[in-house]
Amino acid sequence: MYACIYLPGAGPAACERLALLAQDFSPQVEVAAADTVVFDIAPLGRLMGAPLKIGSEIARQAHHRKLDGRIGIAATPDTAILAARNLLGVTVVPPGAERDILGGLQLTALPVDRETIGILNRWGIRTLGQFCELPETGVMERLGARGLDLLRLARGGRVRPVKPDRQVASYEDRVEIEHPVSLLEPLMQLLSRQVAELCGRLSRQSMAATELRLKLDLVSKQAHERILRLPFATRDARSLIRLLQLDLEAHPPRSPVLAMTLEFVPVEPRVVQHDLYIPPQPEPENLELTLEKIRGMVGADHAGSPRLLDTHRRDAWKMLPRPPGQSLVAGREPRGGIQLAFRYWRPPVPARVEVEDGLPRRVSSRVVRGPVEQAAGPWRGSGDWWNSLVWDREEWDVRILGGALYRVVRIVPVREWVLEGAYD
Amino acid sequence: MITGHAPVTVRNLPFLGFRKETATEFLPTGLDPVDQLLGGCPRGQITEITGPESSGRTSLLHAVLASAGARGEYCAVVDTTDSFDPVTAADSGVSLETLVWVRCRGNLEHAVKSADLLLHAGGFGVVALDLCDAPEAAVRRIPISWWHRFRLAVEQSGVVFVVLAAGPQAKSCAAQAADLRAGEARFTGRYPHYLLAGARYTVESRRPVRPGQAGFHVEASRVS
Repeated sequence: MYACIYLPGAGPAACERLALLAQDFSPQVEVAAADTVVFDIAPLGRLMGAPLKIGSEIARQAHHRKLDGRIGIAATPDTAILAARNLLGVTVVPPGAERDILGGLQLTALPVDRETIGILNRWGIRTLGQFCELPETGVMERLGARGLDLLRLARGGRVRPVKPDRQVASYEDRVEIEHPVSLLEPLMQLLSRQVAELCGRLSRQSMAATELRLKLDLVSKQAHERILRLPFATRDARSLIRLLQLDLEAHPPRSPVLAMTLEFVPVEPRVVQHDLYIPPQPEPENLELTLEKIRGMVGADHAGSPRLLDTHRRDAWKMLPRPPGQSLVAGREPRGGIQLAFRYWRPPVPARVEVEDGLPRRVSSRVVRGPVEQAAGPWRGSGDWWNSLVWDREEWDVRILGGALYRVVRIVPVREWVLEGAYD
Repeated sequence: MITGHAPVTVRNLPFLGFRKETATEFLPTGLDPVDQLLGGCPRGQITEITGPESSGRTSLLHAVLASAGARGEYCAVVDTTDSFDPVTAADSGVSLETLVWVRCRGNLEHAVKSADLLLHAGGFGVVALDLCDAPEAAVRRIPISWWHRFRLAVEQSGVVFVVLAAGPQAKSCAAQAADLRAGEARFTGRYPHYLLAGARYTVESRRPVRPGQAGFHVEASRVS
């Protein structure tokens, strides 16, 4: 069953309110015209009962919102529109009773041009009831496909799904606060309500958010703006509230808050196809929340996934905010087996190296001290001389007597030695 | 009079529910001699890898991470002293695309809390806590309750939790403990031009106690 609300003379603002009213009853809302919305109410049958009860509830809610209009309920969207536009109050058209209820309407009730009405009038047909009596074949022969479509509409047999207009829904909410809020906890309580409301709208529209834009108007007349780009599309209010809280803890506003505007950027929800042969992976929401919590402790750039840079410079990588993931299921083999691992000391430890015959003979530093048993090198490297990252160095792999394997580096421009780390 | 409850008798006691032993699944390290000795790293249990500097602890960890990454599993490394090298890890086959790296810059408390968060997040194949270069005295001050907490979290999530340290830390909470000994570095070439070609390390199983030892060889990246 479908319901239609018709509010004669409604403007764009009233149309948006009509759509929001309809969204409270169904996620499938079609704005048929500026003054007409039609939506699917079939699932409400179990919850609210007979169509008349549903119609009464819609009328009650509409009255509460000062949107008193006409309501039509029928088996198809177009019949519901026909009933709402042409009959007063709440009209329920049960399936099969279309001719009885709508038969008395004039032909002008149909969305039809004057020329066709003129033809039908010349045939002596003035009402929908009379039009419904005509045979389909004859109408098809004389008026074509358009005429047949009109006949089916008049009989209540034109079946089509509603066409939800997703542009109608607004995913922005603004709250103005009477007294400035300076603590995070009360601010989060207000934000939680906003997030829950917007997530409800997303849910009703079968959408999800991939970006959150928060604008806080401060007492200092400045605006504190935060944009959270999510690696996944979600409408899980709990995760979003937690992410907002973690972000505001890391980047708090500088003065009390007077008003806040929260906006969601809607996208199609992600569809996950589970597979027995794909190994378990962290849930994107969980992973993002966990990384945000960890970043709150260790710092923004100290948790993520390393990406190697295309350079010969040592220790060259950048931190991505999250692991990008790989599409392959399995089968990537290590390249040439396990390699000797290196452990960096960041920052490197200054050292004094005694050199004889061009080979390091003794290393002294605050962590390692002793004669060099064996040394391999030097490995000379330089680069980035065209920018500020210029590097020029000589590397030695040294084994300290009775000790471990280290890498000592001579920084050529300053002629200083450092211990860069150990092989392990 | 209370009715409807069966009296507790000795016959009923077996049904009160003792924890059932379940078959443990192992993640192979990809190093055959080590897998023959240890069987791999048990899922849902704590594996402790200990040894002095240059004993192959990190190379063994890279092998475990590479093995999990090759199966498409996500891994995490909690790096207490900021010493992880993504370049040699990638050379060993560690999939950086599915790796989370947490740099704690020497803050042991952050490292322990980060490991706890990652274990509870779920979905990871391997979570590694690297305590190798952290001060020994500070590491020993980690309360035993944290290790029990880790053990419970690991049991529930089925993750391979690897702890790297200079000495035993997880105590009875570690289901498997491997001791590594300082390796023998292999240099090639002639005086004065030498080349570090690789190293050979030795593993012993401390928990459960198994006789014998295993050796594995790693190549130096400069050679390849």
